Amino acid sequence: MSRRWAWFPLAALAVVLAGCGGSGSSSSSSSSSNAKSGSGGTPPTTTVADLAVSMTVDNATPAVGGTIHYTITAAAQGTGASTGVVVNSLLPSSLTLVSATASMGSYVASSGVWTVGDMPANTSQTLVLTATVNNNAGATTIPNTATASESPVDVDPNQTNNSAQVNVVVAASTPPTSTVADLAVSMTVDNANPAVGETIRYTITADAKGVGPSIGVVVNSLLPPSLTYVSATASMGSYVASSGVWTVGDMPANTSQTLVLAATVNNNAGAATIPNSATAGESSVDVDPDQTNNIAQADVVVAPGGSGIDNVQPIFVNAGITGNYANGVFTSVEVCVPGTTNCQTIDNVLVDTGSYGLRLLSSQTSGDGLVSLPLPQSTDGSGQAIGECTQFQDAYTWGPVATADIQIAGEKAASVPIQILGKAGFASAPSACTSTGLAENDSQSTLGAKGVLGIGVFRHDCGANCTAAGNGGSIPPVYFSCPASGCVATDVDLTQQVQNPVWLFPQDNDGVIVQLPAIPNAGAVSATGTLTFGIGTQSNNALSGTASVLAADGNTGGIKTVYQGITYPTGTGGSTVLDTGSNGIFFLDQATLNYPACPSGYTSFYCPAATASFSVTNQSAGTGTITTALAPFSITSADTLFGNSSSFNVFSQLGGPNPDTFDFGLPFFFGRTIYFGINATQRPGGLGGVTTGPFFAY
Amino acid sequence: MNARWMVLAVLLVAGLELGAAAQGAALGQQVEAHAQLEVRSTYSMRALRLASGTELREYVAPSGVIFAIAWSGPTLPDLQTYLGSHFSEFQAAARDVKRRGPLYVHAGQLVVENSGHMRDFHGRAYLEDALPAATTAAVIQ
Repeated sequence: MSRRWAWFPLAALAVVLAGCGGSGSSSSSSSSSNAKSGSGGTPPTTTVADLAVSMTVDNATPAVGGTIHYTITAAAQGTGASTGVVVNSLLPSSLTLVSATASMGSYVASSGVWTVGDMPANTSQTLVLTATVNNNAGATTIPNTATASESPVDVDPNQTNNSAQVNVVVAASTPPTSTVADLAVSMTVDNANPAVGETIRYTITADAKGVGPSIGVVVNSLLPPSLTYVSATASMGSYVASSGVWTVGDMPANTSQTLVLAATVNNNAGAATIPNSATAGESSVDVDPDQTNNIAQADVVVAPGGSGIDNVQPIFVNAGITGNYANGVFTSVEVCVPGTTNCQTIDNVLVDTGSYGLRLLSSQTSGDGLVSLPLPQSTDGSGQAIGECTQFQDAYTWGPVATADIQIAGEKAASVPIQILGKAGFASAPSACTSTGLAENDSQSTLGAKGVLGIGVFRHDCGANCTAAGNGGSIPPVYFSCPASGCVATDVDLTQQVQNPVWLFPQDNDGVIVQLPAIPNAGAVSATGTLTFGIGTQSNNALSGTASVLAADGNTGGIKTVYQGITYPTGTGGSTVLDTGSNGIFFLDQATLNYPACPSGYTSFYCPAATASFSVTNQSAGTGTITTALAPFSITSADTLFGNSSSFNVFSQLGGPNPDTFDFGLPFFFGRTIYFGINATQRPGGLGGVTTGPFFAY
Repeated sequence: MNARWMVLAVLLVAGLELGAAAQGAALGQQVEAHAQLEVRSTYSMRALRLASGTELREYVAPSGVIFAIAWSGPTLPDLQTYLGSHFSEFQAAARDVKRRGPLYVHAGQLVVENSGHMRDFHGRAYLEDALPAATTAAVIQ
């Protein structure tokens, strides 16, 4: 059946169907002609069939989802019967059939065929099709037709009344605009790819789009933690940064108000996507019929790279230059005469997060790989050479202070005070130094390395206690002025103290990250890890979301440890350190490990009968919010570990007694990523709640 | 641990003046009886602050013999003076080729321990055979 009918406008429908039997229909249309039989001028034969069909619909302007009823009437109008009557009326795709009710015969929905059968002259049969308007039919016109036929076809001399069509026009699916308010919000950002530290500006616009006003408008837009609030400028109302609430007030129809939020990208946000959204509401939300436009979002992706400088230095755990160093972690450092290209790369320098500053053994013989550069000697106000007695927990190092340019990976620090150990011709250590214990600077064999790279949580090795302003005239025996008559203790300003070179890098200078792989419990020959400079300054050094940041005590650089219900240290401050320069986990345990440990052999280590596991919690020091991080570890007998293989030098379960404090040495680092935040480095917005170093995090 | 810490100004906690121990007495040596900060049944303990800022605690037996010291602070004390004739014994035993960490010397009767790091050391030294009766090393801290 043809659908090539003119589509009638709703108001133009006319009842023109010949012999129409429809009743009560609100509209109908018909075949194009109402010609009766014989209208062609030819005398009618005595008995001639004339089949006709008509169609009406009860609602020609339904809404989406509405139900309509088509009434299709087949009429045998001739003087003779119509035989084998069939009416085709397949519902269009915009409609869904609900039911079909025929006065005679049957209707097959899938084909649209109503099989009526034989109809005596002057009789009619009716089919009512009930259908619903599909959701996708909004604002469309749906034509529907019915075509009747009989068999044989040629007995019906008037084919013009064998088709009928009716159109329905579906109303638009959305309700017409009312007079209610319609609050909307939009949000943009001026720089979607900011770098760490940069300031970005969000523009939040509230629109009263309805015919009526929006009353009591409030917009919520709390800055995410990766951003630090700088300022808010509102065209109307006020913004409270802590809650993120912009109280706008009443807005007449067709007005808009704007808030500009300025914020800086925190250091820990490197290479991260920072979502930010704004949600608008009115005092009575139900007056806003369209809630879909009440939220807006503007994301920024923090530009990776920052400086783009190579900030990753490989570190190696192996037997070192002595061939028997257990758990020694080493790297290489390039030093230069300041401002020159007269440089030397020193390998096998111990990486030590438990000290601060670079110390290098002085060359004894040509080609020994030790530093031999003519580095300028540091002098005091009287022009005397400055020497240092550097105390470590098991020994001291003695030697002059000199300055050098330092390069590690791509990072460079200029004119850094360092200590030269064992320098021939320099004053011998004064008794105030030698009386503290054992010298560790006499050779590579005793130091076990060619130097020590101290990259812990302080900028300076002694700090205020060695400055005249900081010690009140009581000079500690650390720095010495060394005229020919002998060395005497002296004050040294911070700028002349031996310093952690990291904080003197132009970038990536707020701390370091030490990462070492997990190793087998039995031990390993070697391991390779990384020393990364900067925390949150490049795409490769963001603080892990799972890391806890533990603020360290500002005087000691240590944190606390809770073990068996006791907090160490018991008083104020912090004495626990995460120390790559120690080769075991050293602590006091009388209950499990039968302190004092190995009865023979390696008597300064623990030798439990079986591997022992410990549940320990590290805790921030100081008066701020207490944060904690679990610190589980295991200890296996040192006699067992050292006996596993003569080639093993790397052990994750090595530990020993230490009566006073917890010293988490290198075994604790295997399988962990540990962050060290250098003191006095401000962090806008904070890192895990900590706004400045010193801190540890893992 | 100053050049000559006997000549340094020393401050006694609670304002008491130091006695013989502050003038060079070593472990195991007799010191003169004098005012004591803290008296226990079997020993006395005196705390003083060195010029370096380190707090030093001396443990004296009823006999007047100093049997132990303990310290905490930014630098170590003058171990040579306190260990006296035991200092060379200590130095010889302090060389531990395997252990790289807190000092842990247990050599015969001599015990010297030191832990911490720059700006923050904690340690003690004592002679086991000089401990007063009914006194254990646990009190030395």
